[in-house]
Amino acid sequence: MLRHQLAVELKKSITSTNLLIWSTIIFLIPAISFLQYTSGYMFFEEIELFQSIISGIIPLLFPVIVIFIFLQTFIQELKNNYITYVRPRIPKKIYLLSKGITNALLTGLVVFMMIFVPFIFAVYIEPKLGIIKYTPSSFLEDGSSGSTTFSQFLPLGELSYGVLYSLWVTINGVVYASISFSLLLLIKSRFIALSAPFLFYHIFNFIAGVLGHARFSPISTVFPFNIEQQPLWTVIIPFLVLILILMILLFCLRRSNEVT
Amino acid sequence: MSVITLENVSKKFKGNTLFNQVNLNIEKGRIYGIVGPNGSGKSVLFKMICGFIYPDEGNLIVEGKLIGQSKNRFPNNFGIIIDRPGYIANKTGFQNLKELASILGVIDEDKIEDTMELVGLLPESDQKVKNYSLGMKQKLAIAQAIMEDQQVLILDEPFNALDFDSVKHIRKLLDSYRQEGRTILITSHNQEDIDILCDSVYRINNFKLEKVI
Repeated sequence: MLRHQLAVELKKSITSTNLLIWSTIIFLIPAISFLQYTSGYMFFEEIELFQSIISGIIPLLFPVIVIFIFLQTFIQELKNNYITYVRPRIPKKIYLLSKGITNALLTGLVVFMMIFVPFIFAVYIEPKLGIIKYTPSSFLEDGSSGSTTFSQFLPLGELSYGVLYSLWVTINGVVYASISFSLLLLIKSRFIALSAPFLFYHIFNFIAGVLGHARFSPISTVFPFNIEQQPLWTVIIPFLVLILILMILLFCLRRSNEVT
Repeated sequence: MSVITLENVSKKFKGNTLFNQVNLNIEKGRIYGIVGPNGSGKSVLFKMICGFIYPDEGNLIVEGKLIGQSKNRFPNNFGIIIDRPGYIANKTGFQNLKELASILGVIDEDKIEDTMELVGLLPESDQKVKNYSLGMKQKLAIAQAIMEDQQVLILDEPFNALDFDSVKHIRKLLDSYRQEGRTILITSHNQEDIDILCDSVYRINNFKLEKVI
């Protein structure tokens, strides 16, 4: 039953509106970001261009972007008593589980593409087009441009770096989207449910900055291009907080489902 | 043949006792009316029968199966209207029904179109449900309750917001379903609906179901 419903949900999600939203997230936002770097900036390596493309609006709006991938359609179902009429056809628990899994799968896919497509473009396509004029690295004192967190993966190869970093952002996106999804089922106010992860993200950034531990802020651990390279373990700290929040919400959800 | 049986069912809802040791037998192929003042528990009774909420005490048996146990948490083959119509506002009526039908996957688009025409809706209309009148939303609710040939219909105020001709039409439709052997439970604030349609009528009074007819 769950497998059938998952197939139904995935098929249902492929609408022209959703395709437009996903294309905007994957192509348009990074493209607009790229355009501002076509002149007036100095780059030494392709990786730097990639990091710049995804350093603009994407980190600022990250928890909002993940909501637009699937949850905006799910909200339509939560409004106007629709789920009552689903229940004679499928147990509510299975229906909502299929929605949660679909949310995670689609958010994961779109967020992965949102990072990986600009990576492929910056590292493999743009050098062939020659839009960006790279400054030879001999101009640098030590011969290499600055490293950032996750540059630890570069010795494995650029493609491995691209895949691993895209997966890291994907996992974070899935967790933020799942927190919003859980809150939508637990809280009556949809506005609060959707804005809570965004507020958490920016309040955590602010507090970490004020306390002088910006390296633990969500923005610096998911998009670590505005601070110097940190050990990889530092990115786990805010991620563990997120996982803890998600676990608590899932526990509450399970209890509320047992009651109703 | 008994389709639904309530045995000594008691239920409190939000701290208030609604039902105390209620017994009821619903026979196949008949139309039952449940009447009672606002807040007397008609919707709660229907939600219990549908397996949305469980009795605090007593047994609810649907087609020989005890509802609420792990394998039989919900009865099958029920068409319902409970509380108010439910819909996805930014989709058309046809798209709404298609989404619901895709869950069970037992009917095709032709059947959805036929059902919409049967209740007086235009299947090819590109009007979003958010722009529907209350009566059209009610027809959509009726359509989803009957489109998969559900054999038991639990209809809470099915005639709400319908115009005179539509009420007559839906009454005829429900009567034809009774003749086919389907079982129907309805509530209505209009006594005429109850008088015309129902074989048996129960009134909720003092936490019990009293047989009126």
